[in-house]
This record gives sequence, C-alpha cells and structure tokens, in this order.
Amino acid sequence: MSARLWPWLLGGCAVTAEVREDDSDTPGSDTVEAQAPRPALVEPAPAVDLDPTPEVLEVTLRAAPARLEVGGLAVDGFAYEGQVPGPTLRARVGDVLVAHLDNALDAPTTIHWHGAGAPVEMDGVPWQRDPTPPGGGFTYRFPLEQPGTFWYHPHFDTEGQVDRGLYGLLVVDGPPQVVADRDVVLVFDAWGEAGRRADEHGLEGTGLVWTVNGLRDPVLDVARGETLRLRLLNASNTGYLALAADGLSVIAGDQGVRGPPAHPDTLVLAPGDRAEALLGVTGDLDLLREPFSLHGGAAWGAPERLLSFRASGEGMPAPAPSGVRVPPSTDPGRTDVVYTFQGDSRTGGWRINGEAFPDVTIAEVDLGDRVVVEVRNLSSTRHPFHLHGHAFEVLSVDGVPPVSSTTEDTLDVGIHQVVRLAFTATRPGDWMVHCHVLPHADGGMMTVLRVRSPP
Amino acid sequence: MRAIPEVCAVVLMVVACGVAAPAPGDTDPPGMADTAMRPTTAWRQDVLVRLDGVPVAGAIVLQGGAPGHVRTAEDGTAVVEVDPAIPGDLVVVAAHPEARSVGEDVLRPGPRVALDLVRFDRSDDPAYVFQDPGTPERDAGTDTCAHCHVRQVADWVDSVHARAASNPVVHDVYAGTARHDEAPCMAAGGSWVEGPLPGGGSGLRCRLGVGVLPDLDPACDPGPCTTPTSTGGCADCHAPALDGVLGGRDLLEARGIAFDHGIHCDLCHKVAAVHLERPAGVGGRLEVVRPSEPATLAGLDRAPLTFGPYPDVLNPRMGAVVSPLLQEATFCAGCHELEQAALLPGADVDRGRWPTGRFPVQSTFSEWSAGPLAGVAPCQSCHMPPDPAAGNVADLDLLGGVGVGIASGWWRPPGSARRHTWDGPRRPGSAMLRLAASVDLVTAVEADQLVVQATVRNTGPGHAIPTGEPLRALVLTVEASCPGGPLVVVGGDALPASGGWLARREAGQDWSRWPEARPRQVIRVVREEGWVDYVGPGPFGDGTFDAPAKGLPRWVVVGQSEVRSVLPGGEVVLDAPLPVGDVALLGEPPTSETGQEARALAGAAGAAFARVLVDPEGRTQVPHHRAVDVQSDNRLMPGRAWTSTHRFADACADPQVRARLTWRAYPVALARERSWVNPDLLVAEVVR
Repeated sequence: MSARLWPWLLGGCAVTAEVREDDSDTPGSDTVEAQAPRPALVEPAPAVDLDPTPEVLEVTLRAAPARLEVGGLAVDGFAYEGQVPGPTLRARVGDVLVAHLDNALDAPTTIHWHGAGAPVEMDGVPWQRDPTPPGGGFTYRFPLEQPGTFWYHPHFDTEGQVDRGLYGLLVVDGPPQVVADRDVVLVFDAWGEAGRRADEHGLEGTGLVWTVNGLRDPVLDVARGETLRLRLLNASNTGYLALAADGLSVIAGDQGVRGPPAHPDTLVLAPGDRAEALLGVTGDLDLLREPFSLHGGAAWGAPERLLSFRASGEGMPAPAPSGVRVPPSTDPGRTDVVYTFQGDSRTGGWRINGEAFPDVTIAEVDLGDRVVVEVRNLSSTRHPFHLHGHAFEVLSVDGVPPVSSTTEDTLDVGIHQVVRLAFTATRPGDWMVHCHVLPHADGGMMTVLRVRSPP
Repeated sequence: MRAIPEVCAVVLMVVACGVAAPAPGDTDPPGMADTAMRPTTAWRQDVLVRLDGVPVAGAIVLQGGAPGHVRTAEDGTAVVEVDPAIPGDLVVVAAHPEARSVGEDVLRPGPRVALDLVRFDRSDDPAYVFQDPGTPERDAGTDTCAHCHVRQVADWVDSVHARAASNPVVHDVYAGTARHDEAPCMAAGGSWVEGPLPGGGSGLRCRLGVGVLPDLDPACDPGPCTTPTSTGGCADCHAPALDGVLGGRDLLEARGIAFDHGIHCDLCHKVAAVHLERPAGVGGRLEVVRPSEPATLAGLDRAPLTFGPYPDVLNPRMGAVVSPLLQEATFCAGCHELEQAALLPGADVDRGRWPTGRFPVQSTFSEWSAGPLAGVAPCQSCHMPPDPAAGNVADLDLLGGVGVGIASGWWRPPGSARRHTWDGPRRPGSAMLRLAASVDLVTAVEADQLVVQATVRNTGPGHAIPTGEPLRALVLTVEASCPGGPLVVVGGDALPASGGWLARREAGQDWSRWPEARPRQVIRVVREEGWVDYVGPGPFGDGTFDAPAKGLPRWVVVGQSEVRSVLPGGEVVLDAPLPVGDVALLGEPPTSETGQEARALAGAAGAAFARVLVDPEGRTQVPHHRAVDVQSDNRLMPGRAWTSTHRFADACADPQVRARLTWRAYPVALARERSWVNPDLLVAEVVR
C-alpha cells in the first residue's frame, strides 16, 4: 500500500492519504486524518556512545521493522534504534567511528557512510562485501578525517530500505570554527514516493508529502538574537527540495565549511544532498519549499511551508561571517572518465554510458591520479551524481567554474547539463558511481570506478 | 453520460488569457475555491465501460486530473478512486485507443456509472481541412491551436518541424535551384528562369545543379516543371499536411498553412498509427485519420478528432483519443527512417551490396533500435524535454484556473507537459550537439615530432552521430602550435573527402593549374594507404562488408602548400612546391571561430564521420534522390569511439594541441554551389 497524496496541489491544505491496495513496496498507511495541531520540532535523538574513550565514537545501530507515525501517517517502516531519522552520530575530526550493525530486518542490509570517506571495505556496498544477513551483525570501523555533515543509510535494496526510514545523520566537527548558538538537525524526507507506474506520465518525484525530522509542518521555538547552525539533509528517494532561503547564510555543502557563505534565493537539495546554513533569528520565519521538479527544475505551483521558526524574546543576532573566497582549481582540459546519464521516467530504464548496473564497464584510474570526470545528463530528469569514497571538486557547470572552490560528494546535474569534476584518487578499490534518485540507481543508473593500487 | 455544455466549454476556452496564475501562498488549490458543496473525503466509484455498446476490457478508467488510472476487467467494470482533493470537475473518465474519451460527473458517492465509448471512424477523409496551428502572434480563437496551447505553439514555431515545408534548401534540392541572385547565378553556370515558387505563385529563380524534379522527371529537365509525374516522395514528410489526397504530392503544391507551418499540430495529432513496413511519410507509414463524422459542436463541420497522450482530455473541441504512440520512438520513425531504391531513371543498386534493392538513407530509428537506449529512452526523452513550469498543456496556468477539468484541462504535476521544441543541432541553445560527443587527446613527443592521438566518442545519443539526413557530417580538425607559431603537420591521418574540397586532382593529372583557386587557400596532398576498417551501422559494422567494401580510403597527410596567387590560365603560385602524393585537394585553412562558414578541409589533420551516398557517375555526398549506393558510412554508433593519429614537426617542450569537432549540415561544395548558409557548428573543443 502507498499513500496517495497531492501536495503539489495543497498549498496549505490538510494532508490526506488513501489506501491503495495494488502497491506493495512502500510504507503502509491505515490513517487518513491529518495532524491538526502543529507539532513541535524534535531533533533525532543522539546516539549513545558506548566507548568512554574521547577519540572513539562507538554506537549500536539496530535496524528493525517499526510501526511509525510519520507526518500523521501510520507507517509500517524500518528504523535504526527505533527512530526515524535514526540517531544522530556526533564526532570530531580524527575520531574513530565504530558502529555495530544489528540486522533485525527480515532482509539483508548494510550501512553506507555517505560522504564520510570510509575505506572501501567499510563502504557498505554489496559489490565489495556480502550484505549483513537477517539476524546477523557487522562492525564498521574507520577514522573520520573530514569535517562535515554526512549521513548513513543502507546500500542494499537502497530504494526500499531508505524509503522506509533507514537513515540518520553523521556530524563530524572540525575546523574551521563556526560561531553559532545552537546546532539544529533538519532531516527532510518525502513520503509517497514509490508505486508509480511507467505509464503515468513519468510522475516520479511528485505527489510527495514532506516531513522534517519525521514531522509534518512542525514549529521550532527560537530566541530572537540567537544564531542557529542548521544541518540540512534531503533523505528522500526522489524528491527535490528547493528551500526558499531568505535569511539563510549557506556556509557548507556536502563536505564541510569552506569559502565564503552563499546567500541564494533558493537552496536546492537533491536527494542525498546536505548543506549547512546559519540563521540569525530576528523574528518568526517560515521555511518554505518552492515548487521544484526533478523533471527540469523550478516548477509551477504554490510554495509549501515545511517548518516555522517561532521567535520570542529580544535581541539581534551577530552578523553572518564573511569568509574568504577560495579560487577553484583550473580545469586541466583533459577528461579521464565520461559518464553520460540516460533514461526516461516513462520507461523506468536508467543507464550510464548506455549500460545498466551491474553489466557495466569499469573505468580504471591509478591511486594518486588527479582524475577529471565529466558528467553529462542526456535524460529527461535531473540526477544527483554521487561518487563513493572520494569527495570531488567542481571544475565547472556548463563550462562555468564556481565562484569559490566547491567540494561535494553528491552534485545535482540538471537536464542537458555538463558538469566537470576532479578528485585525487586516494582510496584504492572499486567505488560505486550512481544517481542518488534511488529508483534511478536501482533501475540501472549505477556503475563502478576502480582505483588501482600500485602492483 | 454527462451532457457537455458545448458552448460553455468553448466560451471558457475563450476566456482571456493572462489571468493571474495562482499566487504563492494561496490557501486553496487552483480551481477549488468554488467548491463549497464538494465532498471532503475520497470514495471508490464503480464504473462500467462499454465500447459500441459492449462491455470492454482494458479500457482506461480514471478520475479526471488524476495521475494514475485503472483498467477495466473482462466484464468492462472497474473501480476508480475519486478524490475531491484533485482540483476541477469531479469526473470519471473512460479512454480507449479506438474511441474518443468520455466522462461523467460524479459529484458524490453513488451507484455504478456507465461510460459509453464509441469507436471513431478510422477512415481518412481527404475533404478535411487541416486546422491552422496559429502562431504566438496570431491567435484566431479556438480555430487555432495557439489560442490555448500557448507554450507548445511557441516552442513549435521555432522548430525545424515548423519549417519543414518552407525550408529553401529543401526546395533547392527539390527543384534544382539555388539561392543566387541573377548575376552570380549566371556566373556559376545557372539559368535565371521563370517558374513556380515555393509556397505558391511564379517568379524568377536560379536553376542550377541537380534536383529531384529535373532528375526524376524527364519532362522537368530543363524546367520549370508545373505538373511533375515523379516527385520522389519529398512532400510526404516535408509537407505532410497538404489538404486532399495524402502521399505522392508535389512539394510545390504546398501553400498557406501547409507551406508556412510544415509539420504542425493537426498533422501529428491526427496520426492514428505508424506502419513501419510502408514507405515513409503520409500516405504510407503515417496513418493519418482526418475525421468525417458529423459535428456535435456548433461552428464545426465535423466531429473533432485529436490523438494525444492523456486519457482524460474531455473538451469536446478536442475530440481526444488517448494514444501512447505519441510518446514512442515508433512515432518518429514515420519519417526519420528511410530506405530507398535507385530513383534515377534507368539506374539500379548493386544487388551484391544491397540484396533487397534498397539501401538506407535515413536510419535514425534503426540505429536507436539497435542501440543501448532502445526501450529505455525514446526520441522524445531527449528531443522533447519536460517543461515543469507548465501546469498543463493548455496553459491552464495562464487561464488562472478557469474551467479546470472538462473545459480547460487539468492541473498536471510538474514535468508532465513536454516541450515541443524537438531540440536538435540547429536549435539555438539546444544542448544536443555538446552532449553528442566527446573529444580526448593524448600527446607524446617522438624524435622531435609531436604525435597526437585524438579520440572522438559518441557519448550520449541513442543513435549514430551524425544521424538523419545523409548530407550531414562531423568534422574533426587537429592543430598544434608552439610558442613560435603553428606546427606543420607532416603525417598521420587526414580528413577524408567528406571533410570537403573545392577541387581535386589525382596522381597523373596536372597539379600545376587550379583555376578554381584563390589566394590564401591551400592545396593538401595525401597518400592513399589501403582502406579504413571502421565499425559503422548495419553492413558497415556487422561483418557483412570488408574494409574495401566499406569504401573509405585511408588518407595520410603528405603535406600542403598555400596559394599565393593564381595566374591567367589557372597556374598557381604556391609558397612551396607541392609534395608528391596520390591525391591533391584544394581547400581552405581551418578556422577556430565559432559559427563560421564550413571550410573545405579534406586532407588536413583530422577525421570526418558521414554516410556518403554516391550517384551513378561516382559523385559523392549527393542528395539522396540521386544515390544508388552508400559508398561508406563511418558514423559513430552509440558508445563507439574512433581514434586518429596525427604527426607534427619540430615539437617544442610544451606544445599546445587544439582539436575541434564540428557538425556540418551540407557538403561544402554543394552548399557553395547553391549559396546555402552552412556554418560549422561546434560540438566540442579540446585544448591540451
């Protein structure tokens, strides 16, 4: 069963959900009533550190079925440690993360540490290692070398298991210092994503109900004058999130703080994308979702409120930091690997370079190489390009370099765009390369990049 | 069955466009503000669908405006969910590919609703007059598509489809004419004569060179020709919306809408089926159904009939029939796939090469069908991208939500509406060229020579590059320089003849006289070294043809000289003596300026990719009506790459190499003969 929802038409109307008996691969719903009072925003509970050593964050992540209430819907989903989003893991650069996966699902699973730079044997991908079977366990252990806002989620039946609620945030603190009064985790997810048929005019990414930390349209009490450091994650399978960013100073993307803050009119988070933003509270503020479609970008429709900041007290926040522009690297002109994204949501067929995973040609580079990748989108939807194991610098988008050096692990590529990226191959192994619209990845839009070790 | 308020529906469509779209922050969905009596909860509605009075299985049933649908069971019944949250009329709809969609109001839960579909008359009525599409500047009310389908018409009017029948190049090839004025026409050896003009009327034109009419119809040579008996089938795809009998028409018959608007709305949306086994175009592969049934709407002389992708279009002005065909590659194959016999009188094809007696001219659909994107990404996926800013295809957003549902259509999820741009190489701003191919360079210095390997790869399209019209070519040029200036190319692969030449001499001919030459042009000398064994489409890549049969001689650069002056009698003064070789080609230096007129580059360092047609006299890159064979076809199939090697003298420590890949619409010689605009359009440029 799946929730059939009409948020692109709602414009503030109550959410309704209906029973649809012919679908079977999305969270179930028996409830049709909307939430009347607006809930208070609750952040995901932090993980319990089992190791008293300051340099080690040791946690248990039990993946298990769970009966959830998400945005007013009763959902037969999955959860880490009984919560959606899963526990927030907080560590510092240089710490070692030890995570004990306890698989209480009735299906295999893994944990992929999205963007956190895990070595290949800890990357949680079945290409390298069998998934953890039902009833089994596995311990992930690796150093955290990069500050930033990362996340963790399964990489086995990714579409199904993430869709049902298996995800959480991994926050790694480190330089540079960011002055803020509060650190607020905002994990966005969209529900009602699965169950579309190919002949329904390619409607993936539409009909979604958005939640923030599992809550529909919550309220966060804040104090005038305080500065919030918002850690934003779009954990949805297909839904693009375009936040009206008035008042936000965007200080980081996927890979931590660098360069001067940006002040975009709209902050677009593709599935899998993260960002950090400072919000100086001067009064009440609604966080709005602008109409945006993976079928091309800014879309028709009315904005939807996702969250309200309700201010009290008096005070003026400190001015946002200015930061220093970091010039982007010069494009060397050559291209080592070209990835062309192809496919169509009407057919549900998705390809990279004409190939569907796992029947793919493995591109190979050598350890230590500075690798230049060109990503081309020749399909009818946008695609968040995700490279495992290595963060990459954006050299250009449609030939235009970024204003300041930009490093990401997940980058949205618009329809018919050409994006050039570079990274230094520092971690040997076979690394997955895929679109993070998860039905696209599961539909074949995934391949492998091999970093060869010296003989 | 709901009695459609016909006049009301039309009136609603006439409501002035420009009413404000729903404002951000509106609390009611558009089209729902007047729904005080509207139910608040969804329900399941029983439906029975009959086709010509008989319960029908497999019919589409849905609530109007809903993205999903169900299909009827064997007994014609279905249960459909009706959700009042969907804006607009509460209507259940039945659709079937053999009948116009019908709907019934369902204002509240109630008993089973019966929906009666009636098969449309499948016969084509040649008395029908194709509807005027209108233009963004010309909106004649509901008589023109532009009245409601504003975005689509604005896209289409700038597309190559809209210019298909009026394209002067097509008419030049058809009639054997050129763009020249009188003096240059006469100077070029043409004649300045009175004759029928494209689009109607009569006037003076430059008759010059080959053409469909003079070549295929002896009565038309010399022209002008007013009643040709053999037309080559050009109009069947280039002017398919000629009123009257479809197929086999004279392109010069196209007048008015048929000429001005080429392939327009009412043609494509009248295509009921594509029969791949038939000849391309209308009257053959494209089964067009122009309705003959009596009108049920005031002001119309017959019942409308429109094929489209949506099952829930109920406006009676449309007479909509759901047709998945419009979203499939097969639809495009109606014209973008052409095999041909020898058309010239007395000519025949080499049956040893083409056992069926027909050879491929345009094979885009076949290329796609044999490639990795078959069944994955139909043509529309790339060439008709989504338009997420469109609320629906009737620009309901411009109507401000007036008449949502039956009259004005439904709000569609963002991205449902597709652009009608048919993005391609010549559409300004289109990304098709730069996404088509990549170029990569590997360089090395060997014995004071710079050795460059240039790889061109088809990186994206589901078809060969170039594709379509066989006059097209991809041209790669490779140049090298050091701080002191350009390096001289001394060896390696040369551009084949499809790179373009102005004059050509074989070994043994007089290489001292080039009366065609102009100062600053170059004469390139190449040596022939066997045949290029490439992998092309069909028999050029499946093992049927060996390298000689693939017909592309391997040319190796020997050297070149620049023309300083041309003496009376044609003797040329060169900057250096011509080296010895097998072929000498008069051409031009390459340019690095984007959008410049295509240069004659055969024999330069580089590569070219083209399907080369040949006529009975051995002339190559001829218009396809003259062709009797495909001499070579080294176009790059999906995912395929070709690497060429080039050698330059006196390399420095840090030489710079520049490779430019361009798309060329017409062979240089042909375009210049006819005075056609023929820029080289940049696909990729790499500098190392």
